[in-house]
Amino acid sequence: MPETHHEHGHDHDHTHELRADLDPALSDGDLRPAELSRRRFLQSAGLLGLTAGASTVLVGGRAAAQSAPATNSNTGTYTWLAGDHHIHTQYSPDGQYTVAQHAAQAKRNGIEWMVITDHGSVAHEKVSIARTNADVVRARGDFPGMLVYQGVEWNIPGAEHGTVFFPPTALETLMLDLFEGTWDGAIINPVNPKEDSAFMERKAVDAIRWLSAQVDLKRVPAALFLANHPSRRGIDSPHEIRAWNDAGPTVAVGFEGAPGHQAGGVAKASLGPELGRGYYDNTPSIDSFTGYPLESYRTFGGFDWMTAKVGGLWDSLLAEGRRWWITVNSDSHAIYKDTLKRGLGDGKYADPTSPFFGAYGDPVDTGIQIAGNGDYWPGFYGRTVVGSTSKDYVAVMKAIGEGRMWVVHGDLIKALDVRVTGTTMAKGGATIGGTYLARAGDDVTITVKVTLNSAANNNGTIPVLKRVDLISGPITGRTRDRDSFLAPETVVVRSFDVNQVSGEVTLTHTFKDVKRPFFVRLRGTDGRVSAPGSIEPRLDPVPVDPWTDLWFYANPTFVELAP
Amino acid sequence: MSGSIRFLGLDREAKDLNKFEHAVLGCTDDAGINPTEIATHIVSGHYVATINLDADQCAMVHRVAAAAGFTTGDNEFGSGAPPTTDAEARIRSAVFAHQHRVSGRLIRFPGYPATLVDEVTVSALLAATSIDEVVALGADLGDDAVIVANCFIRPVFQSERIVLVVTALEENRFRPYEIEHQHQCCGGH
Repeated sequence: MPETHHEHGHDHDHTHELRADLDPALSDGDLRPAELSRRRFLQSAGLLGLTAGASTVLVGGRAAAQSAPATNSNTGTYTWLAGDHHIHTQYSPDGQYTVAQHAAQAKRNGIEWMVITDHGSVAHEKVSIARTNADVVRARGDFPGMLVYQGVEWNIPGAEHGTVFFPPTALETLMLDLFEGTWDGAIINPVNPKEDSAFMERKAVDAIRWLSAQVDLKRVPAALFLANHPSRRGIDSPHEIRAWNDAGPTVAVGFEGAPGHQAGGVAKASLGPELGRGYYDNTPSIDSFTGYPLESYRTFGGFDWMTAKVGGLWDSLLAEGRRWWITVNSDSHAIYKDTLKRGLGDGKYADPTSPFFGAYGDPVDTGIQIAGNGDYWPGFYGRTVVGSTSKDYVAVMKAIGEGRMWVVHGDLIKALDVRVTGTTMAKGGATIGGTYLARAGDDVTITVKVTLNSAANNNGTIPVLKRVDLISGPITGRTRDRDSFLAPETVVVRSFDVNQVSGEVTLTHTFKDVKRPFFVRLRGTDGRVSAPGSIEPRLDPVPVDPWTDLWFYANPTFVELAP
Repeated sequence: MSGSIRFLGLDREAKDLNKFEHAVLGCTDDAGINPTEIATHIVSGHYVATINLDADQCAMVHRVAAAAGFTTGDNEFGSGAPPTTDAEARIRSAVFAHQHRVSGRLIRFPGYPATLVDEVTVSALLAATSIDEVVALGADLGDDAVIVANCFIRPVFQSERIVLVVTALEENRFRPYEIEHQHQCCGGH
């Protein structure tokens, strides 16, 4: 999509101009992602003609708007399914477990969808994809009720890693093979190092366009890309993240709000690696974006700086109106205190002459707990809970794409229901990931129902939610500075203390007389630690017991203003 | 010029900081000198080193470094003329940063031997070295705090001061923000 169209399309200060999403002269292809998203929303709400043509598109009256809820996709009821989109097996050079071991553990931890994401590489592309698929197909049969996706952890050219996956089809391995062979950073490593950065960044954008095209051409029913551990090495620059989202707004939809490896900071005395929570112990390098502060390379209450910093990078994307979502995952490679060690072929993964090229043997039980592992099984510590219209592969991916997700560590909460309602749209309203259409001057109310967890988590303790923060900021339109990571108007607008330990808590907040479009999102904490003199999450020390500092985060709900 | 202070810059299109650091220290070792200040910089996606020394030492290190494949330049060379190569431009930028103590990461500095210890208190570190300040990210820190150095301290220039940035460990103990052995993803693949 050309970058030059309608710079003012989202700027609330330019209301005298016809907004691009309402402009009948512009086809869908002319719109920016968020504009297209808004047009789609208006269409689904019956507020905009399905074809942008010569006839008038706007529906003026409140009555018409009130009839909208029946067609508002955000008001349905959903099946909430916990999942994990970042899991490594014996088909990664640094992995060891079988697909079946992960599926069994995931099932035990209440996970209902999972994505196998071994590292992209020459060996993986040549050998592992096919080997993995045989195991994945078997697991689908052996674990009914578990959605087992096969994906890849893509070496994003010029940047970090990311999950890429498709739903199962006859073309499943072919599509992965095509994608990885063409676009994986470890495979396309350019010859001329002087052109590295710009060349590789273009490759990443091309790759995402290709993914989008496969969906558009109906070769696959869905495709998703989610950036993993985005702040770990400071190499996912803000402009790259924006470029990914622009290249495929329905494909490149988010990043890990918290990285895996949450036991990475556990003390050596407790058999942990004592390196850093999430293995976030790096420093700026020549590949890093120079604008990021030193603190961005560390986790905060287990969460990535891009997500944890209020008014930071994530909020700067949301303030643009981008639909950009967060997840949490295990990044399971080697499980904390596990007794299993890598099977046959150690050191031979990348050796094309070895029978273990691209595939280690099954892990071997040593009978003793191994020191220095920093990961948890899928769902053991972190969950991404997705509100899907049904429990099937495509529906779950659609729900992820629509941002209907909240994330939690250590089972801090059991369930979450978010409704944004107001005078214009009387029924239903919008939930997480959705868009509520208000009129200027409306009162808009967010109602949050949190189901507390009164059962022990996998640490054997009952987590206690102490506080929920409501975070909100105005949608101010596309930033001219594509490397911006600040949204100074995004703040904690209200904190709710939670004074009960079981049952359901209902929290409400009303935004009076709304004048500007905005977004609202939630986070909650067990409140045991925070940054000095602040309610903000603490920069994680080392060692750190991840069970003593638990958070949940919800993806945002957007409030747009009807024309 | 003998005796005047020079800032020599070394560039070798380096991509790996540890190897680069070793190569730079190899040059000063081979030249038989032990400079009081050596810094590394990130300039335009490259690592560049700068060394603070006198003119005679500068000539010696220059010879050794050139033989080892480094592009070199100092704050006296090419004054006034625009840089003719990317490496020269990077070197000038790094030399300026060191000379004016704007930025850069110090691998040698006055008092460096005192940091080759397992642990040191903040007050002892400040007394024994040219480090001006210890700054803790996201935590409070007092003079009695203990820095777990593990024989690896890499302070940085910040606004003409030498600052060691640290992060919290347990109970009034801290570690340098930069630790020697950082986690290598995918086992370093």
